[in-house]
Amino acid sequence: MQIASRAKEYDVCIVGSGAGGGMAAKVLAEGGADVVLLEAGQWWDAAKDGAMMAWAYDSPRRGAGSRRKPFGEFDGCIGGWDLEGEPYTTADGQRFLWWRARMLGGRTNHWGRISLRFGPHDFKGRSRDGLGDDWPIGYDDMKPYYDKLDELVGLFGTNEGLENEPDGIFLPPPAPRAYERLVKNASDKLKITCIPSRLSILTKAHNGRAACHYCGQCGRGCKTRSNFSSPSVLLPPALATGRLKILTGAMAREVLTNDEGRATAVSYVDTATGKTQEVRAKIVVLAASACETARLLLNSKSTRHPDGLANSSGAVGRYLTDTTGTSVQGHIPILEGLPPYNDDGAGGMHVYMPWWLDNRRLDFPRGYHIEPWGGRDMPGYGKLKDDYRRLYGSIVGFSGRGEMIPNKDCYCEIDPSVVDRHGIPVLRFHWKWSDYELNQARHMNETAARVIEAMGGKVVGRLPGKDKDYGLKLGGEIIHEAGTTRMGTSPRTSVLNEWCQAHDCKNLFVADSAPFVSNAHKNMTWTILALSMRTSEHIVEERRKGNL
Amino acid sequence: MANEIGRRSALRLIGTAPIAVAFTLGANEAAAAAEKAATAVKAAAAGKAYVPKFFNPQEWKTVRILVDMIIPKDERSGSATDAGVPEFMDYLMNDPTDTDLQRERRQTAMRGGLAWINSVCERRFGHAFAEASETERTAILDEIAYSKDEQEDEAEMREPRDLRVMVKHGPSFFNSFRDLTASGFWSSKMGVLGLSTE
Repeated sequence: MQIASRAKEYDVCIVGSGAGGGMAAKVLAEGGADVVLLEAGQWWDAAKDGAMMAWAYDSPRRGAGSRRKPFGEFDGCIGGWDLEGEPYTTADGQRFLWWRARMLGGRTNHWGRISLRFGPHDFKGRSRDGLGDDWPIGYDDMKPYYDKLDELVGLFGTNEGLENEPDGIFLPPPAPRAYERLVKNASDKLKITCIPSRLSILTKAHNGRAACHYCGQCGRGCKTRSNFSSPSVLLPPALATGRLKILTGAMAREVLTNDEGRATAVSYVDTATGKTQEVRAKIVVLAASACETARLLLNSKSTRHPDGLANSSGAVGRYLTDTTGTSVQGHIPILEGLPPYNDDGAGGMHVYMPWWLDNRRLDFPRGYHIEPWGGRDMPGYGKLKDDYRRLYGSIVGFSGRGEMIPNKDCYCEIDPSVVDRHGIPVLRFHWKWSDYELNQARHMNETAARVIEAMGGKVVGRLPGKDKDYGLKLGGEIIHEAGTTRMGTSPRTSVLNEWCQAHDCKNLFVADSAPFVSNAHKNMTWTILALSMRTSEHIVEERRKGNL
Repeated sequence: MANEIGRRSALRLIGTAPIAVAFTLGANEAAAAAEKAATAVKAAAAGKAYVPKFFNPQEWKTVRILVDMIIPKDERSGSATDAGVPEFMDYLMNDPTDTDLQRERRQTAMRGGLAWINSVCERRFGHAFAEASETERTAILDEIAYSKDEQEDEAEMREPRDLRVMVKHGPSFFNSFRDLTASGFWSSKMGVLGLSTE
């Protein structure tokens, strides 16, 4: 195979252009570094390529999902759990789903924009309940970065003074919709905390980006750049420095190292030609998503790193977590047969229920939050004539999203015999829920049922029982994988130090969710962003001091 | 018949996954697709008969009858055929971005379901569904159009009464077909406008 080595040596090579990679590109390029960014997918710009205002009838398929767009034809993320030519395997009898985005900006193009800070408890789980491990950093270390992130990107929400749901710098939240007011009333009755949601969608113009016009189609990619995505918010200022080069269609194969074990280059496949190329850099930042980053490290074997790069601890690929998830829906008669009313708003919930109970009195150790949904969405799939009209808008659902504890049965490794179409060895996943997650899922369902009843409604169908794992979604189905290169103080039990720098390879950093020591139920993006900002500022500072 | 379907059944329709499993979709390319839809609408406006690519003439007749039994014309909007639902179904049966396996499964579920209805109709009334009287058609749909939950279906399966022994094939096809009809109707321009302008 022909290996074309490029003469130029960049200061930094970043792998991945999503939340972590986009932030690293911005901070590093603005901090004076010459940066090259590798993205496996294609160029994509929501303003040009998005389908924000399309009606279902604009397509004869009416927006239905497909292999490349499982969330629907108009969804803003090219990718899925099943990519052509890019398989993965699972251990016998076990199931895991692995979402890969293949486009500039990755999953940030269609994510829910739920922008929650991890709280003080979330960084110190082991100290509180003896399970999992503490992070080597705490909320106080992260707060300045969350603050800067809030100011840079913009999000709506309210300061509530809740102990483990830190306040932030918020734009005003949109008013709750009709069904959301019912959810709020029912929650109040049941003493379940229900507050305005915190979404990175602009309710006022912010840093040159327009306020949201409430079309509710955030997941399709926002043409006015009123919500957060990496290509809308982070990459433009990085490109404006003139110091960022983005290579799309560049699928990273391996991080190359020298005799001293330092990273020197990244080898990648040019997906258009199938040729392997190489780009040299003084520093490598991996932000390819938790499992892809682990795969890349495990596939980067050398004399100095025989078990894969930065893997002397054997922890790469281990401690893999996803968020737990269930979904229960109710029929609310009071919402039936209403005249057309305005149910528009931001693309997502205007209220949510953060964790409100004390786990010491429960049979599962960590919390969850509930995302309510419902209303008169754009009609499409799954929606007899008068019945449909009467019932339209009367279904309200509750998705529970909780924290799992890392366990020894959940990890990924390199499959010894399978490669993808580029010849890159693929991942094999191992996955088993523990009773902690199963008990938590049961509690989610019971809570949803209580709220539905307090709204005067009835659960649609039956609550799934133990035989169905209480309706717990499969590992990977919530698309919040984390933990595969976790941080820690000891090189024996962790991959990265407190700066997300590899213990074994000083010029290698990780900037996605792989460094997470625990995976709080708070959608990880805001923490990926803040942590990547912190890591990248550290790199800038160390470069200035000549340490890198 | 549509109006007789119980509230619980309709609830289950709205409450379940976007589209029935048997006809699960795949594909994108919205622009090319939109152009195709526009061409079909223009052809219809010009009075040119649509020639189905998947359905044979007998199936096409059956589909057009079934969709209008499910979503009939009423004082607020036209019927499923007025909204182009059969053309929509025909398109989906050859969705260009499906894998061969997906396409075959979907086509088999549709073709087999229509054949099942015809075989039941033949056995009971001596002719195909498209040649049946309105009373005969309604009698058949009455057997299969009421969505029940799994346990009820299973209990019923244990009672060997006439059609009931094979009644599960009927409802599972009909549920998929009904969802697809409703999806096609409510995602059409006629369907959307009918929800928003009154």
